[in-house]
Amino acid sequence: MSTTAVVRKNTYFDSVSLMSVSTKANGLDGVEQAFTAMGTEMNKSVLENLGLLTDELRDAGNGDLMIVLVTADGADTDELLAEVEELLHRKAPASAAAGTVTYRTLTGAARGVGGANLAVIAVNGAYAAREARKALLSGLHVMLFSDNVSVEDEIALKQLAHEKGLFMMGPDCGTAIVNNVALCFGNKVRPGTVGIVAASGTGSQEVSVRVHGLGGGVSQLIGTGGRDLSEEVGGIMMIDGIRALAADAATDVIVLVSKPPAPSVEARVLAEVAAAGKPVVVWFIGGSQEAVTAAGGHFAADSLDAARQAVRLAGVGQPDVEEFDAVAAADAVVARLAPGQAYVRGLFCGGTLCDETMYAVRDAGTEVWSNIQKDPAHRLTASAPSTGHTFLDFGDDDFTNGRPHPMIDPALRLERLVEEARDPEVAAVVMDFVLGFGAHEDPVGVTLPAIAEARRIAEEAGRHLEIIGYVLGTDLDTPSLAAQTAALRAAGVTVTRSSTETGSFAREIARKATQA
Amino acid sequence: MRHCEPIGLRVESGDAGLLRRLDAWRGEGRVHSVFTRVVNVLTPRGTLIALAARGAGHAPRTLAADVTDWAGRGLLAGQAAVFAPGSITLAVPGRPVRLTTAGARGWSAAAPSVAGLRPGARATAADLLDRCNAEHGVRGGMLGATPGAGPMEAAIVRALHHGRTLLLDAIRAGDAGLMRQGVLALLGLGPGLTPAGDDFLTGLCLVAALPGSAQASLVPVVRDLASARPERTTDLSLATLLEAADARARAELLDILRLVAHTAAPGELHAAARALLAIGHTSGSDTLSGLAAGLRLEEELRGPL
Repeated sequence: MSTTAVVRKNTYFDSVSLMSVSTKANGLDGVEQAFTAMGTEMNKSVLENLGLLTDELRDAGNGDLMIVLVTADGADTDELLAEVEELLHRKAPASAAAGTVTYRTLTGAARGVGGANLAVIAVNGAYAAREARKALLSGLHVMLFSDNVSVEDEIALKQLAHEKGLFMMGPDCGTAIVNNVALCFGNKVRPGTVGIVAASGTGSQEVSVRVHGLGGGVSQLIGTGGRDLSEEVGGIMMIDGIRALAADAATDVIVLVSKPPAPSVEARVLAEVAAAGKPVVVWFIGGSQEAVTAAGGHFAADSLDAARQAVRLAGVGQPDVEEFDAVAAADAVVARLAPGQAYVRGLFCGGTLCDETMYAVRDAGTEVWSNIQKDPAHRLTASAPSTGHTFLDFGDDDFTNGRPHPMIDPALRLERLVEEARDPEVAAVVMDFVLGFGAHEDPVGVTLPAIAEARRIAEEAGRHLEIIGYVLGTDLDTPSLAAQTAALRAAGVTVTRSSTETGSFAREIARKATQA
Repeated sequence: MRHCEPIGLRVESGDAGLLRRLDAWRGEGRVHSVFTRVVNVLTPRGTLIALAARGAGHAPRTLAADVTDWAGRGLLAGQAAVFAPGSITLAVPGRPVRLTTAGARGWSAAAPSVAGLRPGARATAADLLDRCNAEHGVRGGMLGATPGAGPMEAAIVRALHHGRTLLLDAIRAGDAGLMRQGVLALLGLGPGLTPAGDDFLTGLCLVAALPGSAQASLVPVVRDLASARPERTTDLSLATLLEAADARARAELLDILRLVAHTAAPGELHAAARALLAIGHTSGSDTLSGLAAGLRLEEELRGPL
């Protein structure tokens, strides 16, 4: 083990960037500890107490940035320092971006970028509708990432877009793939003939990566925003999306993803399904089969079913996958539990992934509590402790108010994992890890210390804690699905292959552990 | 040459006190540090001020300009900043940036008094703020170590705990010498640009600097140390702490104090605390810890009457 230090004179990074660099540096192979801090007397005194204060660090001033690496024996310290320098370079402040062209207004950008026909808008909700309207009036399709837009504004924007023949994706639209370009939280998937229209961000990500995993590909993924199929909005964007994909020569099969729509909206959407002239697979999470089938649609019971049917109908890929024996897998887990370990706790970044697992457990006749439960009697606030089988969506407003989405900032979820490990009634913790553009650069890596801590706590209390991880991603994503999965397995986590499989596994553990 | 014409920007709003003093500052200062949303500038008198992008929030010594961010303008630390009545010109080679202050709205950074509160109100507010911090705050500073923290973070968290205990006990005892040790144990401690120890001191010192505070003896200790030992922490942190010693703070902190002063509904106070927690990485949590500690100590020192 050796200590290497670098001092960058008069270098200032904001705290969030500094923490990000430090976290990534700690994840480099060969680094046992990495630490970045300003060269104040007190910070140097801490380093001295730890025996890490080199002469170079001793000379650092209060305006200097100290980078300390404790490296493993045999590690190439020069190489590691170069990697840390690269991390700092990537986080360099605004002045480094002098070559980049920035525009002060959306209309200015539309004028400046010849041929631009789509605006991605992510501003404070108070200004979002105004900016979206400007974009539509400039002839741009809109993907509106912002939330906190009133339903009246949403309706007006969608009607305006409809009249102008444009897409109004959102508000609160986090995922789209347009002409093979993934926007915001999209994944890198193979181009193909399956078109997706979705009112659910992670639901659409899940279907797109499953289609990819089964050998198919995606023509377009059109997000609508979560409120599109409400009574008030009336499914304007989903209907426009279905019509667009029906007319798109590159799309052979259409997949619809949403929570169950309002009844009147469902009728309108299913009328479009009947008129599409192409096979349409309908996954309305927790919805019923009868109406879909009557409209000539293909009902999907879950996300994996939706992807399999799409691939089969498109006549590409390999829709059959080895079945997962959730019962046998759960038996093996339950056999290792101590008396009293009865409950499953789900800690999710993706709302639909949380929904799918929660519905699977609830469908087994088990009571579940959640911050996204419709039933007020089973609803938990963000600050409430878990009870029984609990499933938390950390991307919900109650957790994200004033802080980034958990796909970017996992801090709250990490703390909750450790907290759940202390509960002697917990049998299993289920977590999702979402890869793709816009997501955390290493969602598994940043969670590994908390996983180790959770396992240590349970082991010291004489309990087995089953941690189940599902990685939503593809072999084309960075980091890759294989690398993230391998890292989880190495940490003793049981890895599932799909959101649907995750739900089945959680359901069987919940059923058997509760009975035991 | 045409390309040397300054790019004109307007200061839309700013610290009213700073706007008043600006006209008196003439001469050359320099750009201290450049971030995406804020450019820090040293005035000809050596005072650190901030030029913020629109929406970055009001704070002492801060002017908000009509820009969405400072990216792509070629600004670098060390470039000259020329102060003249009504303008500041940042000497970016080839394309200087000139900010004019005419018409800028003044914003008051002065904290409200909480002296008229009934017994128990400060402790109730402190309890709520601490609960909110525990539920929504970020670990790594005053709230303790993050899960799986390495030895360095653990050592800093231990030192923060030690400094906090030392300082709060010293204030209780009214012992200026011990207060000095407590402040020195926290000043500059923590990895960030505003170290966690300083953020805690900012929250605590702000309460101590309020009119009629029972812990007012902390303020001269902080001022003396900040003047005598500026090398103990970063320039930005020192400026924030000195403003707190003058009972001036950023808008998110003032909002909390206003709600405490009016014994607002818990939901409102909770929402204001969440806004503070969104600042920086652990800065919001650490500052809120200091504020809550200050309010609780104030209650303790005033007694039940």
